[in-house]
Amino acid sequence: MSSRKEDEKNERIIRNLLKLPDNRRCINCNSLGPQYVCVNFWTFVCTNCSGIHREFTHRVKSISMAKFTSQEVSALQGAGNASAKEIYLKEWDPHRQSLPDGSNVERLRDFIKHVYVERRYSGERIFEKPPRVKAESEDSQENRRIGSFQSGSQSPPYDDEHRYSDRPSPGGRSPGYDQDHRQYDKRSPARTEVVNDWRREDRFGNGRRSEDIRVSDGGSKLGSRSPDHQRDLDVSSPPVVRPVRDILGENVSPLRVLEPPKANDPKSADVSTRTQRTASSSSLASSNGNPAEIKIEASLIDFDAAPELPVPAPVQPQQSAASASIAQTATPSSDNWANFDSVAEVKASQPRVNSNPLESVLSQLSVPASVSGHVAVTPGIGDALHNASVGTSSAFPSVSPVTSFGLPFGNVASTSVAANNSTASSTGNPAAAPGPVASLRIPAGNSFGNAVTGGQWLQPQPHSSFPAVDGQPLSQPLNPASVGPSSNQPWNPLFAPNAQVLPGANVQASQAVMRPGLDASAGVATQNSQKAKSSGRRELPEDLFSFSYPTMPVRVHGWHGSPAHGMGFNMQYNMPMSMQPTFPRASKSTNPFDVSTDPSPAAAASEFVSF
Amino acid sequence: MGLSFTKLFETKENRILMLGLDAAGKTTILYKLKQGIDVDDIPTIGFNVETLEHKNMRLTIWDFGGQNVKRPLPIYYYQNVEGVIFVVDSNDQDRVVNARDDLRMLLSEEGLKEDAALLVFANKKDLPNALTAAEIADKLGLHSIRPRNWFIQSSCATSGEGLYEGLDWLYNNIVNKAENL
Repeated sequence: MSSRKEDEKNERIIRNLLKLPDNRRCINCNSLGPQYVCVNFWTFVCTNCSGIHREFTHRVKSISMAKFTSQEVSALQGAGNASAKEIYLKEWDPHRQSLPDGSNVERLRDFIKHVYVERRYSGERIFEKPPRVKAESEDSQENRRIGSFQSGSQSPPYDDEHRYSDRPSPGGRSPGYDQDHRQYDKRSPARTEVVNDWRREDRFGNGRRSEDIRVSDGGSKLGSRSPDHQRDLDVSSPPVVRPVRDILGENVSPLRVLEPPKANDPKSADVSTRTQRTASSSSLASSNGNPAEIKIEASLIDFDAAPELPVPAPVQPQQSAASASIAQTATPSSDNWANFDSVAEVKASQPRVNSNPLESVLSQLSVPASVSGHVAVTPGIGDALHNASVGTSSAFPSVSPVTSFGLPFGNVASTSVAANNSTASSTGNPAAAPGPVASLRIPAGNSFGNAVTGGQWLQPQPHSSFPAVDGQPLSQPLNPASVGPSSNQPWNPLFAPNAQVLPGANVQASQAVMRPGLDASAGVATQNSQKAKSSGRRELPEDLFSFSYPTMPVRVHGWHGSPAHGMGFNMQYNMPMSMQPTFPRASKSTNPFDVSTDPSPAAAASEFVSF
Repeated sequence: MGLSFTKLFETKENRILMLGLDAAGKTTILYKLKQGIDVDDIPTIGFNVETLEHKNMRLTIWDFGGQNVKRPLPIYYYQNVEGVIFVVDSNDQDRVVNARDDLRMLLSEEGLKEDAALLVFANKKDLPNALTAAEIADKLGLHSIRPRNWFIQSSCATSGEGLYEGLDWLYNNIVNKAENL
């Protein structure tokens, strides 16, 4: 009897505790009438939250069904939601952050994990958390993707601690901070702007940072590289870009960083950011269907970053390294030509291993190729990527068989033509394989004309395009790749087929993927394309192409001058990396184009085998 | 004859009770067996009932909420029960004692048949501080409940590990019991 009385008394006490204002609602989701007590924290929680607490092995007791001992009741009297908020939500800003909705179990789980398991808001850390949290919630999906991609190469994007710590010291420019900021930027579009500024300063000031950024943020690299190109392109076609921004805030930031060097167009920076976004968004769009694309970019970035660090190339693109820097890069690239083969091989085998500065440039180009191979390996690769990778593998084969060219080219031409038309009507070439290439090249040419810094990146494309002009498929792939990623999805499919046909495209494609978005701004492309075509085919190759484009030209040369070499290299490279994966994927990715492209890949495959 | 006939051609429905402390994993086990899914479950209010087909035997498992401490199950829930599944959170070492007390109360229920088999799931064995099945058996005092057939099986409800092994024992026990009649 005494025990029963005691139980009744305890229950009465608890019922009274439930009437306290803070205890009337679940501490986690703010829903009315909590029915459970989380014994670990002495909080009153609702039924949903009690279930989630149990997942974390927190003990939960039902007020109505379970018995409470006197000790538990007294502890509950001294605690409850009010005091728990003081402890666990000390740094939680209700004005900035909203409690999770009781119906959103995922968010509730994250919230409970953050608050009670990780104790982010218990005062141990800095205040700036709230904005981040919001950003997370808003962009959580996108961020997650990026984060997941990045995570492989870098520190886990989602580490709250990093974020939090980062924020408190926006001014601080320690390397650690930079990385954090970078991550943040990618993740949270709103923040990206500020961060970007930082990055810009840092990058300009410190070569390191730029490197770090690249390394840390695949997106940033892409953005940085592409931004210049994108800027130019973007200026011409801003509208497309904007929608993309919304989708991909993260990408935008990296692009901006690159922009500063281009300073040429102050406005362009904004535009470029937009365009970049669009570019990124376009890539994302393609990626949307295929998460793999994003991953690929990240991987590419990482790879690129590693090679780039030693090489001046990264600096150039980021900084407005002007023509001089370009020249340097170009020269190395030219030197690389000889080396290039070796480099290319190295890349093929180990994309990360780019040691030479020139190689770095090449590596960027070549890296994409390797990347494509990786991508092929990676399950989630985007269609565009697949196409690119496919293009690499298939491209090589296509190159060797001149006869096959006709078919693939024709296909490519049609595809490329479509792309060109959209981008720029200037390339009427479509009929001829070179035509499509030219269109591709055009963007590069534009980039050249517009910004020297961007030139490196762009240049590679033009180079590629040149070879394409020569009739080699390589340039085409590049173009398609660049176009595909950057351009809207419709573009991608077109390019994708091209990419499949041409091996060279792969490398550029990866890079292009970043840039493509810029290029994607079709309007620009038209102008650029015209310029590029005119210059690219005839003039550009000698000056610019020789330098930075070695990767592309090399391949081309190899093919032309010494088909055996070119073939051999290509074969070796492509074969190990992407051959198998690319083919199947190529067929899959290029479904719409398969009919047209199929011959080329098939031929390529057969050729490969034979070789 | 009639009895054996029904044995052969009728799938007899066997009532199984599943009990245990709250958050031991009873509902998770039930739905892992039933549907092969992990349910993110809230504390069970009242009970869940599911019928499983296991080796041509139909098992109706009653999964009672572990929090129903205030109201012991009415006696009629124990009647005609062929087996009892008692689930223990082997990671919750502090409450193994409580589990032992609950188990003793359960086994002392008058409505529970003497030949009802006892299957103990030492659940959550995947967690770092989990006790082994032998340790759980000791702490529950299973060795002292002689007359009744019992079996302890370590399990992980979220992965399904050990669940069907335990169910197989229960099945065999019920079959043997029927043959001995």
